[in-house]
Amino acid sequence: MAPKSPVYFNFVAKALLFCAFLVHASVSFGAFPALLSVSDQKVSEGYIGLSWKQLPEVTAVQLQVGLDAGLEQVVRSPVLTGQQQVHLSGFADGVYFARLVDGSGGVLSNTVRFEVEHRPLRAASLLFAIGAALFCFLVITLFRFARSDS
Amino acid sequence: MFAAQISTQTAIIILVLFGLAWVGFGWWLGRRNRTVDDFMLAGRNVGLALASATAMATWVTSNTTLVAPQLTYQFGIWGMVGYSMAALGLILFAPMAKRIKSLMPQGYTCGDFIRVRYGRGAWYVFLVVSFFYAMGWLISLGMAGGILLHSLSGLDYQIGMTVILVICVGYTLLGGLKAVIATDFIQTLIILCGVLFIGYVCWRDVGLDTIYASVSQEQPELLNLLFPAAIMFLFNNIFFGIGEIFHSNVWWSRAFAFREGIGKKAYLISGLLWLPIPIVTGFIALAAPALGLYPPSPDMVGPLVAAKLLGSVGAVFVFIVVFSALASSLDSLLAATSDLLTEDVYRGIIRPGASNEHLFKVGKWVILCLGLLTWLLCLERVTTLGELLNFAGAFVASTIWPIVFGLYRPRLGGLYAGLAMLLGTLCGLVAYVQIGFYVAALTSCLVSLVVCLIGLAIHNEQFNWERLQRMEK
Repeated sequence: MAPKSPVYFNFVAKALLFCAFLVHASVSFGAFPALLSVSDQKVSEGYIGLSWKQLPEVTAVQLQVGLDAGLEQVVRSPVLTGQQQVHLSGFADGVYFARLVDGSGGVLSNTVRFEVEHRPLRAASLLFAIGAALFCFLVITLFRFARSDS
Repeated sequence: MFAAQISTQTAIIILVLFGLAWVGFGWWLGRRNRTVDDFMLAGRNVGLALASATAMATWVTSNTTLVAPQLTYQFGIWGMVGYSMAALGLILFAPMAKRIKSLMPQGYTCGDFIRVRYGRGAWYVFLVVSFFYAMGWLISLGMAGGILLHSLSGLDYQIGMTVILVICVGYTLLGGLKAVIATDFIQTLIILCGVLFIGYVCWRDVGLDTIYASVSQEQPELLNLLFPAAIMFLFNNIFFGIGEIFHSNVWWSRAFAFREGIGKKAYLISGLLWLPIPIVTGFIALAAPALGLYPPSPDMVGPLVAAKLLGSVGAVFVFIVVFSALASSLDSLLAATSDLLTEDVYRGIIRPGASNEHLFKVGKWVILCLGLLTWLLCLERVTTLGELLNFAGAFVASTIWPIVFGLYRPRLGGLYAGLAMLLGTLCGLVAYVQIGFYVAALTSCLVSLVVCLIGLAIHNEQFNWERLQRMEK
């Protein structure tokens, strides 16, 4: 029998890790003091709202936002005091994960996933061009009308 | 509660003092109002200084102080620039104000113009568009009041919103347009000084380098000039601003109220003075990550940054500035919408033979009812200010072309003007739902233009301008 390729092992390992994550997550969601939720699973404008329930014994929390489910590659980590929701903006295209942790790094919430996919630049440019043309037409029309009026 | 805020008690004291001052001032100004012209149009004799100030102060609204930072926080550089382009509405309205005054020296509302110029069908569509817009703006202002107080003092949203509405309804009710214009003048001075001071402190204490570094690291898309949603938003906001001004009775009633020859200059000056204000208010939103501020809701970012920069004492100052901006718009909108409902709906539809004395009383009841309706609709905070306002964009942008062609060209008939507004609004709403809030006004304006051009091409009505001079019923 031909030996299994490293790609195959890699795939199996990832699948097992994913299953382990799911099992762990489903078992431990209830154990977290806060349930983090996201306003949209997929956004086109680069901004997102995240909310959670009040944590009575915690005054400040840190929201970790990263590019992997394990939050090893954290891209933002704002410290939030007295808030139960936050609005973050300016995200580039990509898949992001977020969770709440306390000051010592203890995990306080489940991990949520959201995807940012900006609208195609071509479509946006087309609308921009239509807007510019329409605006120029309005200004020229008004200028001509006002001149003939005076 | 966030850092650097004022106590709830301080906020209530400021509110009570301001409330008493504005309501008292409104009563003092309105004590000699005897006729419907005095109450609705300040005697049609407003000079250049007051005219420029009231136009500018009315356009510096909660939107400028709360939504401009919100849109900068969400759309970055284009959000800030796009919002400031709303000044074009005032600038382009300047020659139209002159034309309006000369066409209708005895006019009361923009509804009068649409009714006489296009007939009843288009007038009904226009009234619906205008009413939806006015309610959207009123709700946004009421919401902004609640958000402001909640952001700065932790006071409950509903209580803050209620108090601000009561104050504004109070002095508009007592003083009419005269009180609105006079308070606007004072509020303009407060707003201009306040906004410039906050912008200066932000530049001095945080610095451009720090702001740039933190935004580049945490919100890179905000500095991207090819940010797709922001590119789409730019012209949308321009048409939204133009539509708001061209169609709204807030601006038409001022054109009627200003002294002969004043309107064009006043709107031009106010537009040029207004242009940099959203740049300053938007700029401070970019300082949020550098200051470690991450707002719960995007429309809270402006007051939060300002309060953090200026400290607890400064928060009082911020509160006064934003409260002035709010009040200056809320009172104008209440007065203008009441005029529209009193003159167009009550006198035009319900009781055509009503005397001026009777209308004077009805106008006051309408202000009260509008305040009550706004309060009811503001109780639940259903969306953010930016999204609520841009919903109205689908309505107002559809009126731009019917008004422009209607003022200067006798050919466009009522059927096409009505259809332009109706189809423009419907397509704008579809775009709002299907694509996003940042394309509603652009779509609406485009569809409306196409319908108007078809109307001009296939129809040749010759409207007699003297009908507007005579204000035919």
